[in-house]
Amino acid sequence: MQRRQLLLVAGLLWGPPEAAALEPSLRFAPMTESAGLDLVMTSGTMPSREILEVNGGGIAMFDYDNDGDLDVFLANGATLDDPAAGPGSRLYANRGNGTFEDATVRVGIDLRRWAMGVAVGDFDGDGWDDLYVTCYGPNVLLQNRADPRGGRRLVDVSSAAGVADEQWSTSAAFADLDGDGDLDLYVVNYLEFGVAHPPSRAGNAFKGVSVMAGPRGLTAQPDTLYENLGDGTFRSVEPAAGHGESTDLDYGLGVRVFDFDGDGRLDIFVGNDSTEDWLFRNLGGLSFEELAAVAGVAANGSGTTQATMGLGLVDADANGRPDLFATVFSDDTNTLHLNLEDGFFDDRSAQFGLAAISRPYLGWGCGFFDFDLDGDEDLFLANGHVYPEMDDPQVGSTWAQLPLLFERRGRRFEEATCSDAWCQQRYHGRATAFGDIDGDTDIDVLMTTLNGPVLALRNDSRPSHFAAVRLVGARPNRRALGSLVELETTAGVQRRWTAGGGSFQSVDALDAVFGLGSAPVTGSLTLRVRWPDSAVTTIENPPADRLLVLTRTGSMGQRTE
Amino acid sequence: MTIRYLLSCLILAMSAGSIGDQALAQEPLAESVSAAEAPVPAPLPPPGEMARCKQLIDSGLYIAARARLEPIVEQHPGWARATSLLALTYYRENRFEPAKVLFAKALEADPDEIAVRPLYGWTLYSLGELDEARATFEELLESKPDYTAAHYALGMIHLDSDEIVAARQLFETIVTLASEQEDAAMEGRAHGRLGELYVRVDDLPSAKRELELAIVLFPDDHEALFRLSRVLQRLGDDEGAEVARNKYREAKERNQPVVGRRPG
Repeated sequence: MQRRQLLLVAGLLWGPPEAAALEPSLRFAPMTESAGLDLVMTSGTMPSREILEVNGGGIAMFDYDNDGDLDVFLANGATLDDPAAGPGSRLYANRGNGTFEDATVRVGIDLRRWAMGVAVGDFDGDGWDDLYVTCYGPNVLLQNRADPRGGRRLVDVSSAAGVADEQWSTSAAFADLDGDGDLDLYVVNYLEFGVAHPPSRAGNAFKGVSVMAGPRGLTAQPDTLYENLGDGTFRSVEPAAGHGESTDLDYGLGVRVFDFDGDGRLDIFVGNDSTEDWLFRNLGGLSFEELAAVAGVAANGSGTTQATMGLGLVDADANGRPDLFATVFSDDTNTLHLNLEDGFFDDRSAQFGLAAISRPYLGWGCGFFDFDLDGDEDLFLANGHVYPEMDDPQVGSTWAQLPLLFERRGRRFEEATCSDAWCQQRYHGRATAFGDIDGDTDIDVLMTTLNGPVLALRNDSRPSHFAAVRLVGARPNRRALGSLVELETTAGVQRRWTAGGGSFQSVDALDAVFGLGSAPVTGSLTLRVRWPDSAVTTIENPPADRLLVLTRTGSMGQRTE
Repeated sequence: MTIRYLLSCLILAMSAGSIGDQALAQEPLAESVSAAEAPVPAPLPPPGEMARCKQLIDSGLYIAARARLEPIVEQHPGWARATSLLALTYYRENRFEPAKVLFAKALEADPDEIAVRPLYGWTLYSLGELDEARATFEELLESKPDYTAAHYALGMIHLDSDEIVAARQLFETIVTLASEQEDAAMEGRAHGRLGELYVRVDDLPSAKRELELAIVLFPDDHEALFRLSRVLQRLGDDEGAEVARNKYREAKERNQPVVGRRPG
């Protein structure tokens, strides 16, 4: 906070008189109340006593009713005294103008167990997105069906579909992992925790103070890979090649599914808490080779295994390969694993300005998006410590922490100037989701907080030109998960991957939004889409300032409102 | 790179060099307690008290050390060494905010208390306050231009700021100084950082050369071993990479418990 105030003061004292020079290029305004996102999240009680209480709930931004705008699902938790009967998860339907109405009851959702995260995918290929909700306890698959009375119903089909994983699941991702067209499911599991007999705090200390137990010392739970059988059911697949000893006992928190090596197959990256991260290279036929250590993403650049929380994807060095970003525990530095031309990753966090500044923070959800539409991707980070004891004056830290907003400037990410009240406030920040919720195409932000309201931030950055694309894949992969969208301009190539999974227990909107700056668009633009089946669509000079809807079958439409 | 690891480098340098936190254990000079701040002079602690407190800190008994130091600092707020030792109890527990406040007070009380400045600098570094840390180490080098640990810290700050040329110059300076001072560990560490720097600019052969030198001079440099394994892997030497990776694990085991992760 002090740094931001200094930046502002410095600007006032030394800056040129032009208002534009003082005006931050990234501007957000809180809109939680006006949007009607009125859920106060539940995740145990405050202050947190046990590890089960610290993750908080996730978010999905998706269009459940196919009306063209983004609706919001909030995975809500419960309390230790009755983890199966919390206040319930919620679905908010977008009225089309960035305000929401609670549609939970209308669509038939009655999910009161301790929900953690959410994945979105049209698992049955009917053209309507379904939800998979990870829980402490059996996970829930909500099938999006037509309501005979009109509208939609989200019906619990977990048991029939065979995906009611009973472990403590955190994140999950839909993706076509075997290349058969339908969406398989990867579920990340955390650890064994008994509410009736929580682990003892004895011997657990952080910064010299006694803290809650875990994850180290507690029993990890294995992740689950489900193959979609194409008939509305899944089967659990035994891990194949490469799932060696090292991958049996890790505390999973996050997952991204994307093609890291450009071979046309979707690979799986799993972020683990306090243990090595995993990178499963897809060998085809649901066979994988775990090669995180060899590839250089199991730990940070100095070999330190990190407590990975949230995951981001970005092409930071514009080499055409997706780089991985991991938010981690405090007293460590967030890590940008650059995906190099030689097929290896290298920790370049410091090079890109993302290391030192992150030391005091415990990071969770994150997202790289071009918030100010200037042609490069910026970064939003949710932060919040897990230990209430950080508020002890003798520790000198805080339990709640500031979110961080970075603007890409040249080769580096720099903390954005922000004097608005929302960014001076500390939050128990957890999951994030990003997308255009108010229909003006720029990227808005949602962040859950622990036992607090959702922070909804409307993007009020100066309007700029853009090119935006929504992909409609061939059924059953209607969300076109696994696609790569590139926009080539005279300034270079911008890329967006429609990856499975999200940053942390969450799902971002999938529209690819490319900033073109505030000056009138001149020169040629080339839009290329590599679809999940490797087919390529190329469009010369796509219309600017319009959302272009591209379908795999070749039709093209524009959404102008 | 972990904070604890950086600190171990500093302490290692201190143990071989002329400045160290051992110096904090020295007893006060009578004149170091300002008469103006203590109109009715409180009695000084018994002789050897600072050494005892330092011993407690080195044994990891921070609460016990604080129990002895806090009343002393309260009675003698201008006593830089006592304040510094109290700061050190927080610093060793990674409680950098209170450590920062106390180190700053110690420096205010006695700007010439040279043992405090590097600890204050690393505290600022650990809080991500690079500009302030940079100023602290630059100030330190003005009075001790041959102090390799300060050069090293500045080099780290340059690396964090992606100031590659400046970082290389500093680490090369350290190699020269450490060689003259026959400080093989610091010389090795500097080569290790040069290796890291060459990795960043994708000059893998130079990185390999520097990292190999690093582990010859300082075989316990687990970071250099890890980076060497990565470089060898990228150069296609899978066998060499595996050997380096195993040595890295052994060195890390020897060096320290893992920090920066949630404790179990």
